[in-house]
Amino acid sequence: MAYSPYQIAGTKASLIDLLQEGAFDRKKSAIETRKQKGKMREEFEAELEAAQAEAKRKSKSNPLSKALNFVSLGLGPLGAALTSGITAGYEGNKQKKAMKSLLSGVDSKRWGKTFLRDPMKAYKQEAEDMQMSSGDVLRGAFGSGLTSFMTSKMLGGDKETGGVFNKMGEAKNLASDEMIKGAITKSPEGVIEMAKEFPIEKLKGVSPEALLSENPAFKQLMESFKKMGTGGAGVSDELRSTMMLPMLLQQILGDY
Amino acid sequence: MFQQSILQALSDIGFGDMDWSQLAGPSMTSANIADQFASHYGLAEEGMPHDLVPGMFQSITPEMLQGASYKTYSPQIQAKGQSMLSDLYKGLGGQTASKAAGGFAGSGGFGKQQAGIKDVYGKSMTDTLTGVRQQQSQGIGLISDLINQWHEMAQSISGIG
Repeated sequence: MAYSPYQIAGTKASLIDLLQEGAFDRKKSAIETRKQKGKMREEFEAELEAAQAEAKRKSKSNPLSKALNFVSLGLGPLGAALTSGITAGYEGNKQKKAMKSLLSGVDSKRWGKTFLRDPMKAYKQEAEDMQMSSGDVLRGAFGSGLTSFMTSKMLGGDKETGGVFNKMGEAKNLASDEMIKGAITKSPEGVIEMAKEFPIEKLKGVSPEALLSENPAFKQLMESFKKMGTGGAGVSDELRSTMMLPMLLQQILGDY
Repeated sequence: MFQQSILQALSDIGFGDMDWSQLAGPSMTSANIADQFASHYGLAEEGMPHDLVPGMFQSITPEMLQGASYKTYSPQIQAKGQSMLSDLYKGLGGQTASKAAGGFAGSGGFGKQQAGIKDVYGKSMTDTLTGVRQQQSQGIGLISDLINQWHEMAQSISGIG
């Protein structure tokens, strides 16, 4: 069979076409791959952001816990310790779950096999460092309970008479009775003066300044700190105990 | 030889044993290539979608196979051979050959002239055959480049490239 020059030239031309087509295909593949990598990077970042947002949402402190902690100061040292311990435990558990979602919300198995291996490793390492064990939660709750116990005691709470608010109420009633009696014979200024001179033992440790204040709890707290600064009797022991607390916990629990 | 190496390389990736013509067959679609390479590079998880997309893998076309086949270029040899054969015939015998040799067939001059013609024919055919082989090699190279690119794309996603 004879071949025409056209057929022969056609074969050569086809090969050249094929080579051109091959080069074009290679570019197309490279473009597709770059696109895919961009898409994967976006997906990865979105996953991390979502996991972090979820952790943030889950770890948001409950306002009820804050309120309970404050109210607990009025329950006496033991009540304060228990309430604070429970709320700290609850909050700690929430934190623990929140930190867990930092890891569970990200498909580390998938990303760990791809070119995003290094950022995945770095994120995982960071998230793992933030994880809390049940021991951490327990230690947190225990520490918080103890701290509340000490705070309540510093503010004047004791197990016989209850918390500082209770005592403040009693002292206020007592002071009011005395002041009402005094008010019959004295001017309004005299009543204030009398309140200032009111025998402190009758106020069960509650400052007369606090009773006259618009914000008695805050005032009482400030007064207690002032007493600590001047080394008031009994307070320095409590303060010492409070300062010892972290060391004590460290000795008992190791890595508190 | 080169073709055999390509088939072996594909078999090692997991495409199984196949012959040259199957390279452009239904088992070599872009999607299948993506799956196979995802598995080869550990990007695939049982029952889970992987990150290699078919668009990253251009499949081998029947034209590419044709470009890599000796048969495609053999007409060039045949055509060249035919045109040279008549020249050779004329050069080695007949009146033209006698005249060219000085009219004395069998003389020393005639022998020299015949050897010269053989050399010319031989060289010309060698060039033709070399040219054809080069074209076929380029065709096979196109396929091997494509397979190398499949690796590069998969490695780029797996982060080992």
